[in-house]
Amino acid sequence: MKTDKIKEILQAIAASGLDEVNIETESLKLHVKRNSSTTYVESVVSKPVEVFSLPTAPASPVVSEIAESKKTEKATLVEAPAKNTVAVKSPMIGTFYRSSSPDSPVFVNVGDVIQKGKVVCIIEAMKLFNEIESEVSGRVVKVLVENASPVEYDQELFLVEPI
Amino acid sequence: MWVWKKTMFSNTLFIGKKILRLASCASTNDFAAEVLSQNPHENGTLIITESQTQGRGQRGNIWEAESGKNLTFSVIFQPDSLLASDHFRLNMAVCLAIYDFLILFLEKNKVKIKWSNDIYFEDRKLGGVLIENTISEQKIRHSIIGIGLNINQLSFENPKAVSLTTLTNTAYNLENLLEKLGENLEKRILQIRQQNATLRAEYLQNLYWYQETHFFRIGNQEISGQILGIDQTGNLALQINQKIRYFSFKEIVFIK
Repeated sequence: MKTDKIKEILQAIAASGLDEVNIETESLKLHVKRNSSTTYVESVVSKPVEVFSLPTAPASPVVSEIAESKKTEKATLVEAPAKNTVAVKSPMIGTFYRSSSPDSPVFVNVGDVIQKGKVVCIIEAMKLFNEIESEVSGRVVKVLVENASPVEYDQELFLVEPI
Repeated sequence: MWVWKKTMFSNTLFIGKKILRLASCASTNDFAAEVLSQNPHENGTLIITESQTQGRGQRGNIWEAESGKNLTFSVIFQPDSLLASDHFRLNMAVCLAIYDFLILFLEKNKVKIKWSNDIYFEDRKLGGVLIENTISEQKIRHSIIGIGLNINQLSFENPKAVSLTTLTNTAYNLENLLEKLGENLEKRILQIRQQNATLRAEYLQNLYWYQETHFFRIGNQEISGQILGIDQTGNLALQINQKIRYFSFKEIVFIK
């Protein structure tokens, strides 16, 4: 996927007024979120990239589905200086969950002081559930990924300020 | 209440050297997590219950209610140094262990692993697997392997469910079956780290609908496709209209 092609898509999305768009083709996964730093492009298959055409109607069902969970999530996302922080990263590709079930409390919130070994989230992949423990002790200063969204290997999930 | 003769398995190295038997519990996986929170060293400990009241990972729990007839248990596995990214190898190993066990009683080419972790006989479900890992510093610190297998139950509300008894017209001694399954499990688990082990090839060889053309629901559409394999992380590779597409578990439903 060429950079200018991505730019073109991003501009088209910007003009559309949508908050969040997921586009998926054989060669590419594009997940764009407005007012958020998570914009990433992932190549799905390692073969010559095919000509990519923007669907005339972006995946609107997906947008509305995610929009709801985003609202509740927003409140916990607090801007914090990125100084002296350590990132908790995803050890695998999967889906990020902040609690063990939809009606359970989240494992950690911004501001919580956690010990090394504290479970901070679950990454689910292919019906396998992986509880992720923090590798550092400190204060959670930022949650970088929204609940139930896909994460990549090594993607930063939380920022922790060591104490 | 079951009467058990043995307190532990005889022919294994670590699996089932400690067995906890519960008349009833919500979920053996949850109980295993509780055991681990009390004692961090429980490699191979097996927790089995006659009646699991809130078994997870399975839809239509109705038949689960018939207590004392089936195998519902969890095994704690504490690998020495297994990368988190290898977790699908663990899943393949567990599914193959159940396959190895079932073909002792059933026709070999009719027992299938339905991606990613269900066990089928032809088009009916015999059992399933639910693995929960705890990851620390990129490695699997411990894994709770939950297994449910329909054994002596005679009837099911769900027409897609089946048991070993209904397939073979034989009633089984659950204690003996559990020990045999534990041995199969250990054998396969020990293969996870062997790079020359053929886990992936064998998993594919016994995969339900492998290289057959079937219908799948993808998004709102029913699409015809053929299962080509799985990628490193366990995504299902499907050939659809001469193109290869990869799907994670939530993105695709098997139709017919």
